Amino acid sequence: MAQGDAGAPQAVDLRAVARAFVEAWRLERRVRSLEDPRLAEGVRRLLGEFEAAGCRLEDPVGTRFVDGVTFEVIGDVPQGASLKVVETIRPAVYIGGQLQVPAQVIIGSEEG
Amino acid sequence: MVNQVNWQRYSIDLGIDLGTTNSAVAACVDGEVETLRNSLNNELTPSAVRVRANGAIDVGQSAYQRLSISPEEVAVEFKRWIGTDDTFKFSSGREMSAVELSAEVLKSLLQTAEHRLGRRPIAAVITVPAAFDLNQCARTEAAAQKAGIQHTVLLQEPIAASLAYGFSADVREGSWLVFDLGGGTLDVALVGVRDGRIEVFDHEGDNFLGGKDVDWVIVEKILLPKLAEQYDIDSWTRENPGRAQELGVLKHLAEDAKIRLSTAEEAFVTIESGHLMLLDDRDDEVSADIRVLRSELEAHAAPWVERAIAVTRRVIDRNPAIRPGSVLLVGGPTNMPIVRRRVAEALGIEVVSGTNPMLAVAEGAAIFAASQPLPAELRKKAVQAPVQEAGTSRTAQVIVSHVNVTDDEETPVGVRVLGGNAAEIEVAAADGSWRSGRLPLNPEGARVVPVALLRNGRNEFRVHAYGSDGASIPLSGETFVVTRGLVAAPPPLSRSIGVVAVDPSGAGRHIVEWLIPKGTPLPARASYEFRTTIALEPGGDIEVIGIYLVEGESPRPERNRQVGRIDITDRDVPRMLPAGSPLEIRLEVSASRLLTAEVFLPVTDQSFKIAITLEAEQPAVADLTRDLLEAQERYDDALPFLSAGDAQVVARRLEEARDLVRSAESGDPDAVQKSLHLLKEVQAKLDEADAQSRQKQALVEADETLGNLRQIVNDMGTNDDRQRADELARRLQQAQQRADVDEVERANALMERQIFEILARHDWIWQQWFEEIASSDGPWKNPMETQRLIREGRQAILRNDSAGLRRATVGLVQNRAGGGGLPFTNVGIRRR
Repeated sequence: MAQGDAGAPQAVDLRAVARAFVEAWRLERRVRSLEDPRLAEGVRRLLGEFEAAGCRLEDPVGTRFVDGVTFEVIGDVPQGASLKVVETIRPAVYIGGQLQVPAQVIIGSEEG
Repeated sequence: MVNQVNWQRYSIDLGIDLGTTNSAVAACVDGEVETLRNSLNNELTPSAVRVRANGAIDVGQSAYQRLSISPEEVAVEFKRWIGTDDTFKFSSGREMSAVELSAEVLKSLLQTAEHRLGRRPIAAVITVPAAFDLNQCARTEAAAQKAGIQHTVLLQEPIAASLAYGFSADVREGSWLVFDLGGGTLDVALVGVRDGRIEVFDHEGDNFLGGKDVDWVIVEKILLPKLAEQYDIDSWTRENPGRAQELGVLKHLAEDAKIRLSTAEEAFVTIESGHLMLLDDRDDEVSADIRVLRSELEAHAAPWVERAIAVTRRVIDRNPAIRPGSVLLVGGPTNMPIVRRRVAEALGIEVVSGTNPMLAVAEGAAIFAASQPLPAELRKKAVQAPVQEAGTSRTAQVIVSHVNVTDDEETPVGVRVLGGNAAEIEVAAADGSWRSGRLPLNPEGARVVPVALLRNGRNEFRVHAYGSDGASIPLSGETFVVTRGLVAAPPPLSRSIGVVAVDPSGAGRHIVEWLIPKGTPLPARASYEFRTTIALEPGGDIEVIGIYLVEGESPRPERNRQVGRIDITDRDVPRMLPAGSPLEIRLEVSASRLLTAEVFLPVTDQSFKIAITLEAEQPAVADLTRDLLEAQERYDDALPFLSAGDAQVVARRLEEARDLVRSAESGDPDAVQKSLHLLKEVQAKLDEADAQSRQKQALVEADETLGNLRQIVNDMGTNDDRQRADELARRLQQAQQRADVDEVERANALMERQIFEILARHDWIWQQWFEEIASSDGPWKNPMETQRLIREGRQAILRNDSAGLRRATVGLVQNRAGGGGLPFTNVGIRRR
């Protein structure tokens, strides 16, 4: 263990943890199509460990899109009064109740 | 550009009250709760299913009306036995389970919804009594699936009723009791609103107490005695299956009279032959007009009302710090004047029925449904939009005066910054999900900021202030909370879930290690590491690690209900699994109280699903009789340790249980479940008394063991033994001073082990043990093996082969069948 600054604890990069959680979420979606129960079980457990550690995914599909809300919008925001998230490219990740990675979403209007 | 957005629903459409007697369906339409009327324009649909001779199925009013004419074609009250494997056999020959019957009622309610809403519902919130166990919840969900509901969320009835109450009465704070008396069940919940959030603080229920019991009181205490004055009807009893139809007719009439007596002082019950000829034991046709007075009904129903009040009082007494301001009455039977009067008198709390007592549960379920998102797989992929990288949206804003609770999605917040020369403010959601952007303050340092409430429930914000140079100004009192809507707190787990394990104190007993305690908010997940107590070796003798999940509250495994089990044997593992290997038990209980569980063995990287027992215990009647006798004996023993009040309760329950066991012996299936339930209640009370007597016993035993240990150490111990014995004596003394019975028992077990270890150093004691065991009657797991071991032991004695003698003795001990049919065999895990 040849650590330089042995006394100082290293700060955990929460964003990196959040990104790892997103990757686990993507993995879960891919594994779903393989229909391999053992693999699916392992990935589910992986997601469970993130959750147990205080990480939370939020899929904003269906929520209102209001000015000021923290999303990364893919594509254009259509004109119109009532805008909603119609598709999630990447979910938001909260760790300890704090947003670490904002959701990537597609916005649509109710009127179409 | 996104075009043609095909709008899907994002929340659950419906709330369903699947009741014992009546069911109802409600929906949130444009923010308003609406109970949906069926094709007969009724808000309530009787939970009745008729199968005609030609196999056609009717549900609801038409089925229910048929009950008095041809009860053999109609099933009712199946919610009461939804946990069991019983079926209803229709005269057409068709047999249906409670799940199938419930599914028929649900289908009928879905049709109503489809007709009224113009679309086929795919998801629903269905209410269940708080007292329902996991198995009953699972069966309710199975019924929903059978009816074509793809996504079901189960919600406890008192929470639903509270939501309806909070919603219509605009209650914002305080606490109250929900007294929900249905056809077959009683649910009492202590509920309160904090920050606009409805929480259940505590609840208790009785799955076998409802309006139906009053119907039977009318039949057995009023109608039958009056008929007996004119007719020979000795065979007309509930226990006689041959008279089930006649009794069914009377009960139907009794229910009708009960409802009329809620508003009238007297009611007439007209008994006459319809489709079914009513004949007495001399084959005379029975017909009578019987006058029933409300006062008469109330006199007979009083013990039943008092039982319901006792449940309510228990909830109040358990929570002395919470003083409920009112009692909300829910359910048809609360329309009875005696219920309203006695509840108000006995509890001294104002009785409220701000909502329609028959519809509150369905309406509350609909309110809850509107807040429940549909799972992603049920939302259609609506848009195929071109995906391209684009800029991140950004924004920001600030605060001082605001409403605490609102149903709006946006609320104006007045912010004023005093001192510090602030020029701009920004309000941001504390979790980072929203920002107002920087906004200039007016010359007075104030500004009104529209704040977005993105979440149902709690929305926490923080105000930031900046000077004209853009530098951040530190603030105090900068956080605030606005609650959007009244939302239900997560439903709590109604009974603790645990696993049966070997007592780590080494006493060889089985104990329950609790994994998820009662009251844990759902959904809940838990993972616990245990150690195996035996080794598994592929190809070895059949060794088994038995893992049992139980639900309940008793420290004794057998007093709880077994909900799941798995045996892991040496055939299941690919390689040696030594004793002491880690073994993880993982549990998940969904918000609808559906339990899934698995065991994970890290050494072999294997997972095993624990089979969840869906069958309710259906005890043999002989077992019930035995349990009753045992409970009676235990009661006699425990009497000195019971408080006067408890003694009275137990005596009364035993009395009721005796009657029920008699009915069960005559073949009444309802009585089997009821008496089982009552006996469990009695046993739990007696366990409390046992704990006190156990305390005394443990102290005496430990003192005796210490005496023996000292004697043996003096006679044949070493200095080390003496030191160890002194240590244990000190440990025992401290435990006795603290009156810590568990610790006393542990110290006792350790002293016994030391005695064994000292003795075991001597060959003569092994010979003595061997002779004792070999000459005993067992019983043995494998008698052939016993013969072999006895032969080997005798040869070892002749050869002076002490190792051989020990092997044979240990073999005999292990071959002795432990406990003789204990319900938990081969328990092979202990806490890490």
